Amino acid sequence: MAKKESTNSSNGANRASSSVDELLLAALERNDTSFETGRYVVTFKEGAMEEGLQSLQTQGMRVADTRDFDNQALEMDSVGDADAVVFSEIGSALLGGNAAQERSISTFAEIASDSPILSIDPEYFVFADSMYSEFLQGRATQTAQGTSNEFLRGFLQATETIAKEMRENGNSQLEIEEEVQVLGATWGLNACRVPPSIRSGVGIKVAVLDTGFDLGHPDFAGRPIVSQTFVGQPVQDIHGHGTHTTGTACGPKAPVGTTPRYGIGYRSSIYVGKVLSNSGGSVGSSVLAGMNWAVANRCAVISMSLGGQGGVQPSYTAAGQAALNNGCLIIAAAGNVPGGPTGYPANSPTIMSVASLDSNLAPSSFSCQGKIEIAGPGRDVFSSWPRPTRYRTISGTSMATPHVSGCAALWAETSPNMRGLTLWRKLQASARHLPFPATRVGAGLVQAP
Amino acid sequence: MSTTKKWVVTLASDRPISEVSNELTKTGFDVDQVLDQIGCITGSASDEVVQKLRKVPGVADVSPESPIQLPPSDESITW
Repeated sequence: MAKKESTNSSNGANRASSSVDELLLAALERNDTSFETGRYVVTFKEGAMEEGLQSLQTQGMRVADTRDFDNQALEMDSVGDADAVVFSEIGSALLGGNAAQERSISTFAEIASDSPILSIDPEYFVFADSMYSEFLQGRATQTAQGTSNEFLRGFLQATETIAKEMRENGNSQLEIEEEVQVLGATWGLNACRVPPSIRSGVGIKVAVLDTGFDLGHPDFAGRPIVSQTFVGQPVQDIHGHGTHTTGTACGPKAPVGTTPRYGIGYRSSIYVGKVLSNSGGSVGSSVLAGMNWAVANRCAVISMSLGGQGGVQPSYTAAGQAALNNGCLIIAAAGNVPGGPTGYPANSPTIMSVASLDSNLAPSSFSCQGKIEIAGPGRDVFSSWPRPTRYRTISGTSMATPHVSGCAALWAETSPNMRGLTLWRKLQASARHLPFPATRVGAGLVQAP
Repeated sequence: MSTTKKWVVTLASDRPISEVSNELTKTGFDVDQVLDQIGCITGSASDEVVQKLRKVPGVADVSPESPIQLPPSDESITW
C-alpha cells in the first residue's frame, strides 16, 4: 500500500494526460518495479457505458470522451487536466491515479453488484516488442516534426490495447499480436497467449483435484506444494493424469533442458488433492472431500479434470456455490463423449465447464456438448508425467481444463477482486471468440491477461 | 431388507451442519464425512433409512455416490 500512497506525491505524475515519459519517471522516483503506471483502467459492464460515465462525473471527475473528438481520434494533449478519459467504443476508461485515489477507486475497492463497473485494474507499462516496433514504425513514417505528439499517440495506442484486451470480445486483439511467434512453448500455451503475459500466478492458490502428483518431478524442484490424499493412497502419482494436469496449470516457466514451456501459473501456490486413486477411480465422496478441502483453503482456482456421465448432482452444485461464495472458482472438464452432453460435475450451473479444442482451434471430436462455458487446448497436449517418463502428450477435456485454470490464476493475480463469479465472467469476457456454437466452445478460447 | 449403500446428503443452508448431522445419525445414517465448507454429508444407509433422511429439516437432497473413473493410464485420450 505504501507504493500506492507514494503516488500522491506532487512529482508523482499519474494524470490521465501524463506522458509515458512522465509516468516512467514517476515510477522510477517511487522505486516501483511492478510495471504499474499508477493509473487505473476501469472496465464497464456491457451496456452500462453511459451509466459508468455518469458515475465518474457524479464523483466530480472531469471526463474527456473520445466521442468529443473527430473520428474519435483523441489527442492526449487536448485532454488537459481531465481526471479520466473514456473510450466509449470499448466500454472502458483510463483514470488518473490521484483522481482515482481521492475517490477511493482502486483495485482493492469493493465493487457493488449494481455498479456499472465490471472491474478496476492497474494500468501497466507495455514493453512488448510488438508494441514498441509498431510505435517505432509509426514514427519512422512521419516527419521529424511533432515527435512528442507521435509518442503520445503511440502511448494512447498502448493504453487502448490494454483496454481492448479487457473488452467483451476476443476478436478485438490487435492483429500485430497475431504475428508474435513465441518459440519454446506448447501450442496450447501459445494459443492462450500465455508466453507474452507478465503474470505468473504469484500469490494465487491453485488446487488440482486429480490422481495426485509426482512430488519429485525435477521441473518442480524447490516449489512448495501443499498436498492431501482423500483416497487412502500416498499423494505420489502412479497413474500420471494428475501430474499432467498440474503441469499445465502450474508448471515452470523454463523447464529443464530443451523442454518447451508447458506450464502456465509458474509462481502459483500448488495444492494437490488426490481424489482419484492410482487406478483413476473414485466413488465420489473422495472428490467431494477434496472440494471441501480446496474451498477450506480458499484456493482461488480449483481445477477438476474428472467426471462422469449423468445428470446434475446437487452436491456438486452446492460445492460450486460454496466455492463462489468464498472467492473460489471451480473449473471442470466437460467430458469426452463424442456428441454426448456435459458430464458431472461440469454440468452443475455453479461450476465452469471446459470444452476441448484441437490445434486448428476447432472443437475436438471427443469433446462433450451442451453446457459449455469456455474452451481450452485439449488435443495433443504436452505436459509433465511421473518419472521416469517425465513428459507425455495426451488429449481430452481433462487437458483443456488446466489451461483454463492456469489462465484463471493469472487473471486472479491482476486484482484481489478478481475472484469467484467476477473471475468466471472475466475469463469469458476476455476469451477469443471462435466461429462455433456456444454449445461446443462456450465463450471461446481462454486467453491469458 | 435392502442392503446398505453409500449416499451423499446435500444440505440447504438454513440449519447448522452439525445439527443436521446429529439428526441424520439418529435417523440411522452412518455418517462418514461432514463436509462443512460445501454443505454435504457422506455416509451409508439402507434405502428405508434414506426415505427418512429426505424428510429431515435442512436436507435438500440425498443421492447415491457418483462414481468417477478415468481411462487407464496408457490411453491417449483421458476424461
